Amino acid sequence: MLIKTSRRKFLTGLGASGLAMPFVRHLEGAARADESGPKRLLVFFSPNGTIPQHYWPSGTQHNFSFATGSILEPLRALKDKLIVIKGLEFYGATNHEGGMAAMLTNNGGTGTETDNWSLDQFIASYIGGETRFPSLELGVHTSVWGGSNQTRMSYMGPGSFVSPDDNPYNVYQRMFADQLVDANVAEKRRNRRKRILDMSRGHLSSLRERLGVEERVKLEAHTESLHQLENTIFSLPSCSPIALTQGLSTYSNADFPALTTAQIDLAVNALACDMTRVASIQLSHTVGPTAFSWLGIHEGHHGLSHGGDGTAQAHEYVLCERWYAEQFASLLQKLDARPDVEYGGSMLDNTLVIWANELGDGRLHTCTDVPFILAGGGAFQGGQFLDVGHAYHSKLLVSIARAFGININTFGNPGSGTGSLEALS
Amino acid sequence: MIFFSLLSFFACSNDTRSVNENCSDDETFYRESVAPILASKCMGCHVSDGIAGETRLQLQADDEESNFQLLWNVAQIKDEHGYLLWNKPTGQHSDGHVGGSILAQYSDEGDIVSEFIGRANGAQCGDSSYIDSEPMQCEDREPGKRLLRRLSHVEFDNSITDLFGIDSEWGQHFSPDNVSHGFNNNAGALQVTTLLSDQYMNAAEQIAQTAVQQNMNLLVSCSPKNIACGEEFLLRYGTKIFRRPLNNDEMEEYLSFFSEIYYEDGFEEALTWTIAGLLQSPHFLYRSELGVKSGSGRFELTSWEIATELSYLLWQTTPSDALLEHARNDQLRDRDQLLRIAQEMLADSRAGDTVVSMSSQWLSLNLLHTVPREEDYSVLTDELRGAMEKEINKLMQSSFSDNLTFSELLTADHSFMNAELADYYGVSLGEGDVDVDGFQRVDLSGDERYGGLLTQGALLTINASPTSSSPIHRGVMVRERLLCHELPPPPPALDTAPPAVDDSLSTRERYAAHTEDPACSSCHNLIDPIGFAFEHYDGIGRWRDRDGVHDIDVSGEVQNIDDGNIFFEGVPQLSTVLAESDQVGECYVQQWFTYGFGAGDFEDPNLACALEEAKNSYHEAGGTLQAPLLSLLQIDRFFVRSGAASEQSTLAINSDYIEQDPIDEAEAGSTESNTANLQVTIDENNWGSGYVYNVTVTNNGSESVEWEIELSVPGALTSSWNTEWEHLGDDVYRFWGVGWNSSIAPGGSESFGFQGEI
Repeated sequence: MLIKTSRRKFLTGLGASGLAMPFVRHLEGAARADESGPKRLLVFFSPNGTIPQHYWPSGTQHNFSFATGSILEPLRALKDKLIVIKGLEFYGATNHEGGMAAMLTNNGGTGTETDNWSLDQFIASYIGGETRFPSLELGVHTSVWGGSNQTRMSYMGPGSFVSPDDNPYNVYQRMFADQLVDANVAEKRRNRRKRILDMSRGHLSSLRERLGVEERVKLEAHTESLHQLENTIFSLPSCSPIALTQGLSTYSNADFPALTTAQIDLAVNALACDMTRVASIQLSHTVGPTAFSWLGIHEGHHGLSHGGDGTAQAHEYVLCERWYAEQFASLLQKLDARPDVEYGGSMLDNTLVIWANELGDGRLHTCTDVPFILAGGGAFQGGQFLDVGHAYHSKLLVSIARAFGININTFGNPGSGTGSLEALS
Repeated sequence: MIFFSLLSFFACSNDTRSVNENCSDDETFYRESVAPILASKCMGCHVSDGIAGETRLQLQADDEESNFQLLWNVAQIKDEHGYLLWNKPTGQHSDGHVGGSILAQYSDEGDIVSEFIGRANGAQCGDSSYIDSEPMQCEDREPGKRLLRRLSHVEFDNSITDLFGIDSEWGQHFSPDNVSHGFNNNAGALQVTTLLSDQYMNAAEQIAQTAVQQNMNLLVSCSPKNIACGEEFLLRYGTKIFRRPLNNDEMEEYLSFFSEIYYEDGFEEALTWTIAGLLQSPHFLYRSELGVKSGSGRFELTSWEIATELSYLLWQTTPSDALLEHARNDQLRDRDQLLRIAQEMLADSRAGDTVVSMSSQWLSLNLLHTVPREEDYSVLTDELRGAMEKEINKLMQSSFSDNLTFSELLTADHSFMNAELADYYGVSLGEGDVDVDGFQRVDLSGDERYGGLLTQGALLTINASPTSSSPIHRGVMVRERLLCHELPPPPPALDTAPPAVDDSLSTRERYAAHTEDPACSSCHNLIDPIGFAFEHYDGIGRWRDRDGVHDIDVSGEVQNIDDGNIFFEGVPQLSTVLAESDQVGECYVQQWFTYGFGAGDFEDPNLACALEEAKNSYHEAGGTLQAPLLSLLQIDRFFVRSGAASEQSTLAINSDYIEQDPIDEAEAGSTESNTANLQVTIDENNWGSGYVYNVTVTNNGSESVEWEIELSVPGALTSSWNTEWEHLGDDVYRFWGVGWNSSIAPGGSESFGFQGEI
């Protein structure tokens, strides 16, 4: 037997390029950084459905308006950058939990084209490889109830949740910690961290050999997480730290607005500094009980979502939803104000932003006419109000994946049909 | 009356499913029992525009009468394998079921469907065994799977505190875990995500730094502080951190890491990083329940593993030195000895902390500080919330240490309050000793308003709305947490708008629609009539004589408890009803079982049988509060696991590590050499027509390298693992790493393998 060995010197400090991409699944994928189309993805979520008559614009596809007092009125100034899509429904899913699970996955089981990865994670597995974070999940009050199909929207496989980080100070540390210490200290620390990761991986692999199939899955997830952590450790940050409001309490109801602002600022910076290509901002979760006390509203959001027509509850719910629209508007404006140093134009020009919800009419617990708004990104023509009749939202998910150069035919459960959302193209 | 229980389990071996003489008519049975199952499990697909809209079972969202007729007819369809309505949803039909297996045969839902099919085919009503399933047997059941259980965040914090003598709040700030079956410590659900890995890394570094700075003397007593001293640390503390001695490989690995840093930055830094490394190892982060193979698929847990299991069960923390000593002497596999040790541990206050921790999840008490309470309810200050939390915790702890029965807890005639809380409730404090928190025991024996677990302010507050009481929340709490019934979500496309707050109606009147509208009542009859009992308590636990201007009616009914329905008047009577119910006591055991073993899928017959064992043991112990805990460590599952023959025993421990390869400080210190030296070892398994090669690449040099090797390989490669490769021509292939194993640290090695055909 012939054995020849050669070695390439491992160069520390060169960052992630020295390390192979940790993702195992989509290396063959069609990342298209050099082509046209969106370069980044941002998912924005608010819960509990809407009240249709106070939500949908009036008018036609290219000539529409947001009525005074309606939920989308705060987005008037941005109308030309938006695509409001009516008529989307989730395939075979109803109710809070069903909607939450289907929203970004279309409930694909193992063996489907997307293996029940959520849209954000699926796209990150193609385009998230060389950044500090393959994806960054930010939340506000998402985890008071722990992780479950009520509180999670991102998946890496059936039942495999990706948890958002509800604590902006924690996110800040993850983003900027290396810049808070001396460069030599940081490098030494990186190398020692790497040694520890290697030892842990060795232990995981020796344990793995002793186990049955089910328990191995657990260790494989752990191993995968260490690969991603290694990527984070070795990618050098490219931006200076930003200022955050201090003294916020992660689960304080009163701090909900300030926490939202902090997470929006962190997400915009993480994208603008190319720390990640895929981010999400999840505000609360399905059945979320947030009391919008800063608006003088005291009943919880979910309770209000069931207010009948014309009731004070319904009126207050509209006010809550308008507040969410304001946050979405603020996010878009911040992206639009930020130049894209890598691709030119503004960050919004190259970032596809989606405002998703898990229910249509919250009072009925149904997943038909679920509101989706797209903004920015350059893939689709803005300034449209599309009524797609009855179309499964999986087609929208396919359209978005394709906009990122990922050529799939189905997203999630193939029972909802193949192909993209024609009205969008 | 309806005869079913949503989630009480088949008895194990000699199950006689009784036939109830007191039967509802078929349509009522359908409406009350079958319709909720259809709504939660079938109507996602079996509706006209659904995925199963073309099948024989096409249901209508709003027409229960026609659904009943349809299902009645479908229930009579039979093919050569049996009834379609049974074989399809239980996943037994040869053509499969597109929606998967959605109905467990041995569940109460299964019983209901079975009875319905029976009724539709002329059988006696009340016969849930119409479908002749294989009777469940508990003999020769598997005791439980081999597991690795990741530490819960609470266990992480407690372990750090006990290992290093420092306060730990790192764990409570980790990304919250998934909740499964009401608890966040489910063994299957506890995984390590990217976010958590990141948090583990930062926490481990900070903990190590804090420990070394504050408690160096606790960690090492040796002097001088050199490599030998580091080795002593690993021998002694490694055992504590891994809850077993390190084996030779691990010793060498950590010692080499220690030495590298020792030469660069000295002892303290080396110790700090070594601790950070140990704390990120899966051997710390996971509790091993793998066992040692003892034949026929059985694996006996080692004494080390049992020490760990026992300590985390009773005290939620890493084993004490005394317990580790018992493990070292292999004394814990003796069940009598173990029971004696457990009883001693239960007498310690740390067991009371465990009860508090378990209860905070069992009753969702952990939500107390975050539920929004608005308008008039803003008088509920953070201080009062804190006092309510202390109140219920003290009641739990004292009841547990006095080993009261669960019934006595439900009907307790006393509570624990400070002056502010007593004032808030309008209760007289009376005489009593004040504890360090300013709380004292309050006698409530003559009080008609407060007394018993269910009137605890914490419980009443959590189960309410921001501005009103909530009969629904309170009813669901009793149903799910005390009776262990799982309730389905509301059926789709039903307008679930709760009645608007309307001062002209009492809360009870507002919710009347739930029990009048048949679409709602099938489930809400199980919930609301319990919840109404609590109407004398507002949304923040205060007693009220009237609901606004309205009189309060607290009469109610617990349906489907111990196979019957019981009427009652107010919370005191409700508490008595629950206290006298076997089902409630057994539910408490089930909650402890779920928490203790991190396993709650009782549709798994192995688990269900283990639970039966625990329930028997609980009854034998007289239904006391300590009995569920003791019952868990007297069943097979605590000591034995099952696994496939191909699985391997837990890591062998070389408990008498001897420094076989003493490190020459001078040599190890000379790190200038640039000579890389890759050593390649090949383990070959060739069977003539094919082969498997496992290759280990070791870096004997002094710098990290990215490896790449060329091998001559017979035949054609068919698969590979942990490597990328390219065929260079003839029989020569080039192999290199797949990212995580592409670089090898000095002294380290990586492995890969491939398989081929000749």
